[in-house]
Amino acid sequence: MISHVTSAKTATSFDMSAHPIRVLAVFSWELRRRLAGRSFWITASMVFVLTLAFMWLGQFKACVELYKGSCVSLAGTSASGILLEMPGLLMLWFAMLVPFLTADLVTLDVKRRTHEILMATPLSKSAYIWGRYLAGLTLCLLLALLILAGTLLMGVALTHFLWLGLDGPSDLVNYPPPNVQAILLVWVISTLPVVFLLSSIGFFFSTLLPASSGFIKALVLVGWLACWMMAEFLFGHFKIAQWDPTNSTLASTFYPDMQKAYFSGISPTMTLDQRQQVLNRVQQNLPDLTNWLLTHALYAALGLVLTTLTVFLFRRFDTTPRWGQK
Amino acid sequence: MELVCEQLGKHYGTIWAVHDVTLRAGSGIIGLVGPNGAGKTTLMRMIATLLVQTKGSITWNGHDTRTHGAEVRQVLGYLPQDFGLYPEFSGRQFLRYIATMKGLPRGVMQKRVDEMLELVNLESVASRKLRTYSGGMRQRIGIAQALLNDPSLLIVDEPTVGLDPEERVRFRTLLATLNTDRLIILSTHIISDVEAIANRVIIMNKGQIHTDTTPEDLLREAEGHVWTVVADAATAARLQTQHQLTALVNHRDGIQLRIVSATRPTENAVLVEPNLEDAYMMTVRGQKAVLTV
Repeated sequence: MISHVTSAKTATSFDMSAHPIRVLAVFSWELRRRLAGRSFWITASMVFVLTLAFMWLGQFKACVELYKGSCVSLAGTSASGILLEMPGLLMLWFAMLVPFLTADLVTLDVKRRTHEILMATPLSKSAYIWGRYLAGLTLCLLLALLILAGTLLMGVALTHFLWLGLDGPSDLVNYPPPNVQAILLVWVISTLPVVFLLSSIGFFFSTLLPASSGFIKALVLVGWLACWMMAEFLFGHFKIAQWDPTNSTLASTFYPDMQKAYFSGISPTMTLDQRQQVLNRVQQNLPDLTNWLLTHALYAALGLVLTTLTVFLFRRFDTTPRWGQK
Repeated sequence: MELVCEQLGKHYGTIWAVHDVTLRAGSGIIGLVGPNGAGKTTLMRMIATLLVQTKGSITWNGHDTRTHGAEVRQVLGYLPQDFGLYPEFSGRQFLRYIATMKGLPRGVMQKRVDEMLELVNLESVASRKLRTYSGGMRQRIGIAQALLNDPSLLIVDEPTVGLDPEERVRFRTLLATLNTDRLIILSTHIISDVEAIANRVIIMNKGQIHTDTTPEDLLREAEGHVWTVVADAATAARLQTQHQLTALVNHRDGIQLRIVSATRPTENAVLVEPNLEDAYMMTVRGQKAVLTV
């Protein structure tokens, strides 16, 4: 019940005009709100567990040479292995999650009918849009960090615990340690631009077309999948491979060089273990990814441009007629 | 303070939701009433800068709300008819969140939130998640958020929906106490709420202002038009089809009808003092058509 008071105009007086609402305030409250719900933590757990599972299942990414019935294997956490593992497997499904995390950042206000309460406050469009988007982006980046952590963790585990091994060299010595530098670089190239781009595409279209947000999420998901499947055809040519936003052509671009280095390093008299040692050395050489960094920085920038466009095109007003309601 | 709407209109497709509305208001409480689809919510959303008008203008203290929307929102408190809350937040967190969005200075925010929680009697459940709140509690949180910034322009759309009778009376009392140095626009279907607190009544119908008067004048117009009759079932059924009814109560000795009519409806009809609901019914009866572009 509402208490008896003499007035709601209480002793607390304040000057409203001197306090503009900052992006940071919207960002921190939205982040707090999302972290207070269960769904983010469930998603985070799922991302971490799936990363560990995929890294374990993909601990040997390729059979570089079949020698006397056994494989000389490429490790998933070496420089060459991570070029295959991270864009080719982890980012395929992780990218599908991204639009689901950002598409509803504003749309849900319209659906939940919190939109009118917020839009009746002095909150500016830019603070609202940027604050919300940055909160969603931060959540995506937190999940991406879990992928990085899971990859590194499984790399260390595979190096030190033989019992984790599937088909591959039979002794502990032959699983190379994770190449932290390569893992970090490939994570930066394959994860961050994708997060910036897909998060903003989902956010842009859903915010401007709130009634179609479900359709938009599905469309981004299917579009990403199609792009991933067509990447080899679209970007397979070496000169334009670095424009592949999915990075699924990343490994195939550099794999032949690694293979060539391996075969030039072995001799016919070498045993399987000796061959594996050669490969373990060769597979840790990180190719020059400067061009990939540049093009992917552009993709990330495109994401920010889309969010800026969202600010300009977003309307505070929900034009749905409200008449005839009780 | 002054709110001025001139020749205000909004149409959706070919239908005018609000058409040629002109009004001028200073501090006080305006009771905005009318049948469903009369244009009340559309009018209030335009004043609250949530909807752009198709034609006409709205000014607040001389400033056009289309160009000075941010200034209006600084002093605006708005409770929509149908609103949602964030289930992840507790009541206190939600109010602090809205206080931040309203730009309340950090130094006074906590105090103001506590005051509002006390005002709507939700201090004891302030730490509970909003998903656990009942309909009445949610409505009270809605009222609290509208008052957080001590608004000069308070627009409340069906604020007492979901409140139990005791809460409703207390909310009316609260609104009445706010009636200084501020303009309150209260839209409701509960005419007794308007009768209790409003000093001006605007009846909207078909997107236009049908009547703009004081409750006293509206009541005066209905004097001599309100009757009570105790009748058997057959007579009651006949009277219902012939006259405008404002109440029907079953008694041991028959059915008591409250009828609005210019002439005595039956021999045994007794002339009674009108209330605002009778006056309202008398004003809006028989008008259902809508305007088209």
